[in-house]
Amino acid sequence: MPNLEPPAGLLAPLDFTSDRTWTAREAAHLLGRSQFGYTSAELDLAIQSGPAETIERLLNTQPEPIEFQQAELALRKTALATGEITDLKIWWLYRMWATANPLAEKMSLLWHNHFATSFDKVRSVAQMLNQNALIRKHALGHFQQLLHGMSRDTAMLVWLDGNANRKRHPNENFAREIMELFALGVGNYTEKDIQEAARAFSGWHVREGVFWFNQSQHDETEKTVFGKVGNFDGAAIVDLCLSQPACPRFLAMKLLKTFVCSEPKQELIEAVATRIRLHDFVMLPVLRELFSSQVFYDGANRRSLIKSPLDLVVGSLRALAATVKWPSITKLLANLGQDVFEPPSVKGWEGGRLWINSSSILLRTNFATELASTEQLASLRGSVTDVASETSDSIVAGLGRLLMGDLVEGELHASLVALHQLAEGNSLQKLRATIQLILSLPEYQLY
Amino acid sequence: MSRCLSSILFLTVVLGLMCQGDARAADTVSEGSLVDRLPTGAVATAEVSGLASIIERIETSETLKGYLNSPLYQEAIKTDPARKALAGKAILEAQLGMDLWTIAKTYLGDRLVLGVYPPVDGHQPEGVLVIRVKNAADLSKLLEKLTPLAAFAGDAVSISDRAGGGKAFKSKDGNQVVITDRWIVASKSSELLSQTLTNLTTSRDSGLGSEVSWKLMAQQLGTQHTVQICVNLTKVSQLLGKRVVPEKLDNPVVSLLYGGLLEYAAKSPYLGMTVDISDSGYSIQSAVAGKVSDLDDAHRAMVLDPAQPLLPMTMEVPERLGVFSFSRNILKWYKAREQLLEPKLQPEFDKFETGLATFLPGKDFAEDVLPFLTGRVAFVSAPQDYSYLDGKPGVQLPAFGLVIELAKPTEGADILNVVAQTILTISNLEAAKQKRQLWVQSSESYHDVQVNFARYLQRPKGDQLATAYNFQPASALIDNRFILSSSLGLCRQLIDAQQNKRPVESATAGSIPNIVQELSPVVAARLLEANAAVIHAKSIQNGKTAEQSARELEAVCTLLRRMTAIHFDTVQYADHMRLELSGGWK
Repeated sequence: MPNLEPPAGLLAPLDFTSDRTWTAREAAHLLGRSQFGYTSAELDLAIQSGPAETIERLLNTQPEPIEFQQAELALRKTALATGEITDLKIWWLYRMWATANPLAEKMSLLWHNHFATSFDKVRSVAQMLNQNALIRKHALGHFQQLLHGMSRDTAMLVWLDGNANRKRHPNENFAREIMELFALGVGNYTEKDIQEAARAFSGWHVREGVFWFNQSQHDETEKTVFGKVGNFDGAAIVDLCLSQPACPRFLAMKLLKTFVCSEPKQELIEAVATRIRLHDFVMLPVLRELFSSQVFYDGANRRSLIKSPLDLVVGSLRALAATVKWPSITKLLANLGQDVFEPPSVKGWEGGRLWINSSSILLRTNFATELASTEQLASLRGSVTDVASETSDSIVAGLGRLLMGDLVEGELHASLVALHQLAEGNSLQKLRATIQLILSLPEYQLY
Repeated sequence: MSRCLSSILFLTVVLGLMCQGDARAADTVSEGSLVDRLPTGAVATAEVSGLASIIERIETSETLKGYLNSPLYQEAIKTDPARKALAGKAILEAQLGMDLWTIAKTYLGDRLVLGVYPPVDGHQPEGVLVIRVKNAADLSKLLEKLTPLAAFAGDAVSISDRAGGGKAFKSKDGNQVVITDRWIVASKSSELLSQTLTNLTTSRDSGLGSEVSWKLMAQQLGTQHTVQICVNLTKVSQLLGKRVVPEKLDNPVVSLLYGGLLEYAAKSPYLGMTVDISDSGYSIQSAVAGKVSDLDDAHRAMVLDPAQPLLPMTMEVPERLGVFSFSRNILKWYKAREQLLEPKLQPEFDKFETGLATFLPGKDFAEDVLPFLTGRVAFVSAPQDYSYLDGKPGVQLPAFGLVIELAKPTEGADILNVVAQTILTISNLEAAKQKRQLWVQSSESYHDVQVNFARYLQRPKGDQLATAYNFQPASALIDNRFILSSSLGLCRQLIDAQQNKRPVESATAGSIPNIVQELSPVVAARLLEANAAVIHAKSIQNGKTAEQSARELEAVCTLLRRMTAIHFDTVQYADHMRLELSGGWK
């Protein structure tokens, strides 16, 4: 990959030596967006090491602690052994919570939602796990490889009825979704393109649990897709999709909605799409530029995204919990509307404002109560409870820094201090009550 | 699974402690039961004797020492309830000037009895507790300690000297305790207290022990037990104003297995329970009085005919994890279901018969199926051998075998084979949905017995195979016994068991086994160890570390390995029926 000039304009890098000071707020903003919550230690390290080093640490694979490796292996093997999707969900939630590489998990979730596939139809933990491994392998890498891999992924083929795609009866499911949901977006293809592409994917089947090119069911005749004519097969269709100008724009929109703002302007989408094309669809350098850019740290984009249930729940747990009772958390996430491995449809979770409604806000408040006041979901970290005997002012400042990225100030700070002082019970109970209040704040639902 | 492990751990620790340590002879009970010291009219009594030797065993046991030094205990005492309990223990020890073990041995170690009496004027039940202390000097010491303490309590406790010696303490809320030379008697009821104190010094003939219920229990279960509980069912029935057991049950399984026993209970004057603990094991027995001849015809379906008992099959196989075996007149029970079971259950039988048509079209269950059975059924469980896999499932389940004795072996086996084949077909449809290997019907001759079994289309490979790969269904007919097993290996073992049958299916003098149940803790420990990875993962899912989980599992398995087989049988005697739970330690 040739060295490219740094982006200019909206994506121009923010100079932390002159434009803005790297403080807890900036560090918390970066960590909050790029992982599922952060610990006090992670925030301290990010502040200390500065933006460039922190971004590199996020982007590059960090060694996982031995305890994580043991637990991850045990949970993964058990999911395979039991064949229970709940066990696989717990495995992934554990990874999100405990990994030393949280950005990889955040990107994996992005792609899981992008290529939304549900166990509800696949009915195989092994196939769902394989798809997840494929996603994680390319999460920060080449989107082309991910899209090619996904077109041969057995879970995807089951999910979108690959075995029903036969040369005399083409099934359009995969061809439609690759254009509408995986690569281009609505309005960038015609119905004829879908019909022709479906013929190219005919014979892409699953046999004995693995991908199988069923030549006898593959349509070998000429197809016309995006105005191009040829005896295309599925791989050629994937390449054709990737070559469309709409593809990087479509991906740029996804990245911006996940990491920057809920309604990105066309100009910004074009800027990111250009960088995606220039970086040959490799996500890592695109994210590096995004996390370094002025637009990422712009005040208008701070606390502008509504936390998804995973961001809220796993994020809070990463910050506060020493141990977690995962079966309860899995149920809670399903009730909140984000049940990993079982997205609601091929479109995945729409998210944004839809995450909050009269029912979910109640559940979010109950989660705050249960996490802060009971041991039903998790036990709090010693580093969190050890400060219980400090002053109200110090406790609120510390929690505000950890949970809200130093944004608890002024009237809010004073109110929380007053409430901490008024809270009933001993010092630990007062601390728990304050945590509960912060987790229930409308501001905490944003990041 | 983790909660289950914790429960097993608790049970095994408690029972383990009771039977560990220095083997010392139990204190011989110098005098008889204290029940006859209680006033008549009790609804229930609970008597404990010879506790000192058990406390001594627990105190000196290596198991307790090991547990107290274990990380498990260190974690347990950090909890709030444990901290409160330890604080309470420290206060008590400081006040009485001796440690808790000595307190327990000194004051509870000889004999104590609790009597529960019907409520007066609709209030709560009354009770009286009588404790006999071995040495009068110990009670004098207790009085010395308690008297100043009680005085310190001011108006809350009043103290008075008793005419016959000793002291009476009365709290503001009416609780009274009288301490005499060898006795501690406590009650809230002045009447019960007074009658009991009188009984302590007068003839025992007028005490509770003279009542029919208690006499009958003493006669049928004896009186020399560590713990003995007696409930006067006649009195309970009078208080309730109805039978203690409903005329018609609401659970068909309970009715089939325990309907006879429950009908005994409905007519029995007492329900008795005894606990005995020795150096090598324990025995818990529960009994109700009655005779087979007292039962009506329908209820006789659930008991064995004393003249010609068709005893439960035992089916002994190597490495047996457990067995559950019974003998019932199933046809009679089924036909009498409207008399035995609640009306709300009857539509469920209709649904069952309709559903059965899927397997056996054109057959009537009562007329065309049940007559082929003798009523003897056994479930046997043993470890699976996995010889049909290139690897092992991630979750290793034991193999199960169902043995059904047939009155008409050929016709009965045909019917059961049709059922087995249909189940296999349905399972294959499900396997296809779940993307598992399909089964193909196959057969072999094992020791001249034709065995039908399912073999996988391709041998499954891998170390974390799906749970479904624990199963390789097999069936066989040997003599008049049809075997349906989840494992070809266990099916072969059951054939061996039948061919090498020892004369174990017989009654000992005076008793007839009605239900036979056995569990091998050693084999259970092996199964737990085989599933250690999954157990650890489940613990991690619930917030534990792999290390914590490993420690807990090791503790459970160590205790299980020390235990001998646990038996839980229902046994008929000439004039009563018992539930017998027993086991031991190596």
